[in-house]
Amino acid sequence: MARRDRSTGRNTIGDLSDPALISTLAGWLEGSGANALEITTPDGGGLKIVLAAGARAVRIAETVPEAPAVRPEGHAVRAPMAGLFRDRHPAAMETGPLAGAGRALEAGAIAGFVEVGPVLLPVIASKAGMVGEIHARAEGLIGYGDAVLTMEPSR
Amino acid sequence: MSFQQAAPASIVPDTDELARISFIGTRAFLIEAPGAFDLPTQRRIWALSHALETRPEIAEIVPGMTNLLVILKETPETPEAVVHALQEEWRRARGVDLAGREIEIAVTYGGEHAGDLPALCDLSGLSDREVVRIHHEGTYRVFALGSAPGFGYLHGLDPRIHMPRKTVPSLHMARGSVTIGGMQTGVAVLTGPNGWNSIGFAELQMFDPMAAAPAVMAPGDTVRFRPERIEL
Amino acid sequence: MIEIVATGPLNTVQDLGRPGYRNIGVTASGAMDPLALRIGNVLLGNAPGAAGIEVQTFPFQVRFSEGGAFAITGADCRATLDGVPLPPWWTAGAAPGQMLELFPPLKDARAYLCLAGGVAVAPVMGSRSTSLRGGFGGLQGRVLATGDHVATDRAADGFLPKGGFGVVPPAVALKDAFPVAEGGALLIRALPAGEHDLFGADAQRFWSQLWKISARSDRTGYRLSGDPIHPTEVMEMRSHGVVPGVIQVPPAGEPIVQMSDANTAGGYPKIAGVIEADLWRLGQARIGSLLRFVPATHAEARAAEQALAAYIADVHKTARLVRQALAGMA
Repeated sequence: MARRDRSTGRNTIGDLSDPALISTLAGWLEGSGANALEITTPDGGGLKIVLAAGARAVRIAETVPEAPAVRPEGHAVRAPMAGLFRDRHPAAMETGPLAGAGRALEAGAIAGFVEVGPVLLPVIASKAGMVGEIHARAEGLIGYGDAVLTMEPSR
Repeated sequence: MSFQQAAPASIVPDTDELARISFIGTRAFLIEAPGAFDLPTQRRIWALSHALETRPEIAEIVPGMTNLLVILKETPETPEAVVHALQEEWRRARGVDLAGREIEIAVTYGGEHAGDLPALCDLSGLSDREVVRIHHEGTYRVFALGSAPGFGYLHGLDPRIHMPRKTVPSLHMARGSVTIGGMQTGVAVLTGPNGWNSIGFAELQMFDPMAAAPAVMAPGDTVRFRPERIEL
Repeated sequence: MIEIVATGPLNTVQDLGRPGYRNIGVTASGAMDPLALRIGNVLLGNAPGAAGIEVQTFPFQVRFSEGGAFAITGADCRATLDGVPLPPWWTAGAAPGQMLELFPPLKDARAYLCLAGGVAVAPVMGSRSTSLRGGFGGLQGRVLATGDHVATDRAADGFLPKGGFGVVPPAVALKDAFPVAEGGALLIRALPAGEHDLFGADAQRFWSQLWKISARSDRTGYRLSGDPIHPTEVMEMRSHGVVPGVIQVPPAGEPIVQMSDANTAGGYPKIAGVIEADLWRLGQARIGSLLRFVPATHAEARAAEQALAAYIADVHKTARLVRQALAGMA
């Protein structure tokens, strides 16, 4: 597995083989009822955790990243990590989704959240635009890099 | 103000009567001594406090007036066992006399900070001179600190000048006011609302948060008031 | 370093308080919602007891004179960074010159602003909490004022994803462990205290009725209004130590719940004591809101404490792992 510059003291890809991390990820999988989770890194390194149905055993395999499916007419807003997709903040369930179809979003706006255990990660619109097709199901499991929604360019 | 060592520890007899123990929330246990509001009872509270000091499960011990609040580090699984253990310690506690310091406080009796002196004269049937004489001739013991930073509850007030606390507190009593509350006396450490009755004023600063020992008084200290001026 | 650009009158620096000095009359102080302060610090990689700013009057506005990470927890105060909304219970990075604004929350009472490294003021008697009554701790023993500069200690290194991240608020994550309000009233668990039984039939009315938090409530204590309760006999109480959560009943019959700036001693009859695990919820209760006390046991209190501890530990562990994983992918 690829390792980054040690001298910066930054965390490296190698940390993904940390047993504590893997067991935590496996715990989330179990809790969410899914059976696989894949973390892929831009440089081609990656980690796949497969949880056998009904069992606690975890198998780890290095994987080759698949090419992301970007549609030519728009751009995809992608999940920053695998987890549960939330289309609104869990403390504001009575409100509407943050990114309803047809809604204009500024660059940097939060279009939803990925819930990983108690942690919420923002799903961020990298460019301004109009919310087009929404791919992720609210409160459904989503993988790293999966398209949450497609943004159409602003007119 | 002057300090000197008081008499060494002495022993007072035990009694078999149980203490009253109640909860304040989940971690705090209030131990109330049976019997009179007097020095022998308080000496036993001091002994109990000393005996509990080294217990690892206890976070904090707060002596009060013939009572002791014990705050545990954790909410206990079996509070009955805690009550039993505290009752055992109470049973074993023999009175100790703390080797406190002697503190002399210079007081201006009467004047602008003695707003309640006329009312005390009315209540007691004594003249203002007699009230002042009785107050400064007394010898007081610090039973406990509390209520405000460094405030010492002083026991030993002559019953002739006992005066109940006010039902409506004074809103801006000055720090340094020499006051009477029921059968206790003390020196106000903060300016603010105060239900005690003011008869004089002392310059002494009773608390310094930056000092190694922030409070001037400690339980067991002996306090005397020296009349520096009398403005009647 | 931040500069206070606008503040209401009662915002102070608080940490987890100054216990251990009640025996010399010193109030513990500390955050009214210690859970929110802890989580803010955990999100930043600070020590859990690092000092933050308790904001209970709004709007509150600060400028980051230097850049740095911050966290907003507690009441959802609809915070914005340079006008861009931030979710509640969130940590993010601010660039030098950016302006953070906190607006009046629609529910709950107090928001906490934690800063990477923690607020750097000199500890007094082991704590950075402001003691307004004593005039020490925090920023010169007083409330924050416009123009104040608040420095921070050295921050822990940690990867912060673009846009920051947050946590599922405890009111949502812990809803099973903490009784949900019925008809809008907050349910607060308490244990009977020393004089409970002396209230006779009135003790039952203490537990059964809805109490309203009166306008004469602050960090020192909440005065409750409702149908007065009285002991069956007048008793002569001797002053004794008290802790936050003690529910005292003065002669007029309307209870007072002592809070973070509680007096260290009391002499009113006490009918009950709030379990410590529910104090954070009481700390978020607003003036005018309703509450009902629910009799509890030590075992129930321990279960609530364990739920809180598990949540804090889960946030701590997961936030660290997520940061590591995201740093690795960045």
